[in-house]
Amino acid sequence: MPSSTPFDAMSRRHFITTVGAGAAVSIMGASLARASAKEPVLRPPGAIDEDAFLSLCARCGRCIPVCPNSALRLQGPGNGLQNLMTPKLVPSKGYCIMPVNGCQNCIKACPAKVLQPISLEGLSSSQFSSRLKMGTASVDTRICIPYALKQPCLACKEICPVEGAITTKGGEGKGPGATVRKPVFNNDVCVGCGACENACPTTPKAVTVSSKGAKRTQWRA
Amino acid sequence: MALLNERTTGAQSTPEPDSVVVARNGTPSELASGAVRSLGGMDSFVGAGDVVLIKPNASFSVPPGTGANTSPEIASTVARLALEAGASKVILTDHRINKPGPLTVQINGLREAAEGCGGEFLVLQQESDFETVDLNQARTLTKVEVAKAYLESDVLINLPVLKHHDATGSSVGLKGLMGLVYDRTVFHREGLDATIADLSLGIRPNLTIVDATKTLMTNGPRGPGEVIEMGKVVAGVDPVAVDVASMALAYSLGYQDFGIDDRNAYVKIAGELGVGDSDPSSVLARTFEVDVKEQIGPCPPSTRKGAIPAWTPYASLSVASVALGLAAMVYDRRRTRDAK
Amino acid sequence: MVDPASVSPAVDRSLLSGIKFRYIRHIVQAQILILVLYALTNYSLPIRLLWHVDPLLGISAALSGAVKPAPLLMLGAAMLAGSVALGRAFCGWICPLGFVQDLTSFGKRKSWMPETLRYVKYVILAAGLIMPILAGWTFLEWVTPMSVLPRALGPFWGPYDSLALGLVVFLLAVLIAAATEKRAWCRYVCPLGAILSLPASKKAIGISVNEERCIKCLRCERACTMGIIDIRGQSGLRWDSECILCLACRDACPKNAIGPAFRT
Repeated sequence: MPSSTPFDAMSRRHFITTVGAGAAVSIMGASLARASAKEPVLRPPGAIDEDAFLSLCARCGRCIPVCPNSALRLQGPGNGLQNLMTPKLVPSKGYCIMPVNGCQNCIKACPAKVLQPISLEGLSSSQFSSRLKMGTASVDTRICIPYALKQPCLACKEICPVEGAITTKGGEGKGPGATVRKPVFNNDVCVGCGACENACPTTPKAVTVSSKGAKRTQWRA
Repeated sequence: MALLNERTTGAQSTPEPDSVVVARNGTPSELASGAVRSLGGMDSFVGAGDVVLIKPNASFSVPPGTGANTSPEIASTVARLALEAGASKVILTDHRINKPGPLTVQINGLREAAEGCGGEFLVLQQESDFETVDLNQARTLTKVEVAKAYLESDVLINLPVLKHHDATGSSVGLKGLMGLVYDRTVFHREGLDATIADLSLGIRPNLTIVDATKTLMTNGPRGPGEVIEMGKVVAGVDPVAVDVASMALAYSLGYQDFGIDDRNAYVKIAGELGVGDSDPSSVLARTFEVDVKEQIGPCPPSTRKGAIPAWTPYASLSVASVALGLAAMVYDRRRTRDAK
Repeated sequence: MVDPASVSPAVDRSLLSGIKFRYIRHIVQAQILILVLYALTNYSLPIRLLWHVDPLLGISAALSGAVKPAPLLMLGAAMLAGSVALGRAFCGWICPLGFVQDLTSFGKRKSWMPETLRYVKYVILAAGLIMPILAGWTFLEWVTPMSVLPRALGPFWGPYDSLALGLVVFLLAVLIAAATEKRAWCRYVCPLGAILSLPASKKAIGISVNEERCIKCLRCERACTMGIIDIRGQSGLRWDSECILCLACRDACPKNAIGPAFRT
């Protein structure tokens, strides 16, 4: 009779060697994973909490091509082995249009359902952050044009789809530079879609979106 | 690189080149067509066979009626007027702020407005849609990338909406020309007022028609904010004078941000550069309010054929693969049978 | 030696003797690949099944302890149960990564890589199952074919960056390896193949050789995509569990001496 499996063909010694090698690879990999630095990642909308996300995400990359704004990318090796090939929102490339028209392409595409559906039904845009919050935008006033150069800009406020996430202050005075209004970021209202960072005209960007304050969802099959 | 200080069309000269017309008392379509009629009719601007480029405000992905974009009704009417005057092609275009562009113009209704009359909406998105030109006599912005569609057209009709703007004070025609430019970040970095004025040296609309029907008075350019039913359309050949007259309409209602001083300084600078008349008293002396007598409507909603379903290429791939496989099988069977 | 009397033919030879199974198999594989391509850009298609049947994803997620396992494991368990009956037939008839390798596998050589390499996939599988228990995180998603292929094809439909280039290069490496050694990924690397091969010793359909008809021409050996036929040595399959039921051996044999058969 032909041997049935390589397992049948191998002796007990070989079997133990195989499993042992597997365990060794695991230990190496596990310690590598702990050693590599990790910055919290800005995830696509509807992401479940991070531990479960890392366990369940199939790293299949299906969410990437379906985004109409090409806002998502796969994480490369630079942010820890655990995050490798998981999806992240990259505002400098594209911003999430879910606050604009309720788009949930990535959520619908995810086969592992690590991106859960979010309903914005019945909410005004200033209320979106109660259910949808990928992160929060903040401004570096050393780079931001109205703050730093006393010239008008407000490209961030122009594009922001959430009412009240960016408001303005100043600009009521007289004389050159005094009429310039500066953007003010309201963390609680911001949904972290990244439109502001995308539109910001400075290099490096004065407005950036981080995963701080993100509200994660609960995984359901 | 081209010099852009001269534009010519095949049309007859305008009867009153320097007057500004404010149409009132009518529906948006009637206002738009009445304003154009008062300036001599669209025939004065569009000759037979001309390619007409219309530049509305279409940048924001908000529905019509919020004052952030030109109203689709007016856009549709102006497109219709151009076609009826003999234009060979009517293109509406804007370099969108909200992305993706095709979705934005679907939400704000401007694509529908363009296509309803048989025109098209050209969404400007990539650098290859633009071409660098020199701006003579510019003080700050000596070079700019403008839309190729503008360079290739015969007539440019600027169709802005009058609205508040947090950064400059307000936005009308001169500010709206930024929608024909590729890199707007330069404008923010080099000073909005100076660069907008310089841009107006290079892009010269043949006609400016301002949508002042539903006007966003606060929290512009996107809103949401206070929207007033002003019910007017302002039109003229001098782009600076049209801006002055439009802003005066809003300023006279008590909205300080529409004044021309430290705010909206680009209007003054454009006047200094010789683009047009920025002196308020001089402009208002040439501004006429007109009651509308036109009875014309916009184009009907477009009857676009349904798009082919998304699965079509895959279904055909599937059928093709089955056919190919069966054919290969039959061929192979025949070949081995013959070999035996 | 297999007693011909104990083997009942799985198919009626006279009716189908002229047909090469290869074409039917490729047609089925092509449909699956087209479905995967469709799924890359059409989010609404409920193609989750293709991922849910992958037992690796469910098992490693369950082992990591991060989620309750039950819904995830059900379809994967069904696939494992299926492999008890059919061995690695998934690999030969469904897996899209297997299909694209078949398209580049024109080599006529039997094998030039050492046989011990076959154990590597079991090492990867073992590591992938131990890692979630030890460290609470999973890595089988990087190597399971149901993720490897769509990840590498995504850049052709969507945004493109340097990581995307790396993924495409990786896929090209797999295809080039397959060109020199048929289905090299499946033979030596794939952990999904590894786990499907484990219950395969009990399977219901296997390949058997009819000793009387066999003329020892060895065409089946060269045709075998997994390189496991050894007519002279053991008169059959060297490693039965590795068989993906591609039936290339049957197609190649001029005497109908080798083919699928029910095992009792």
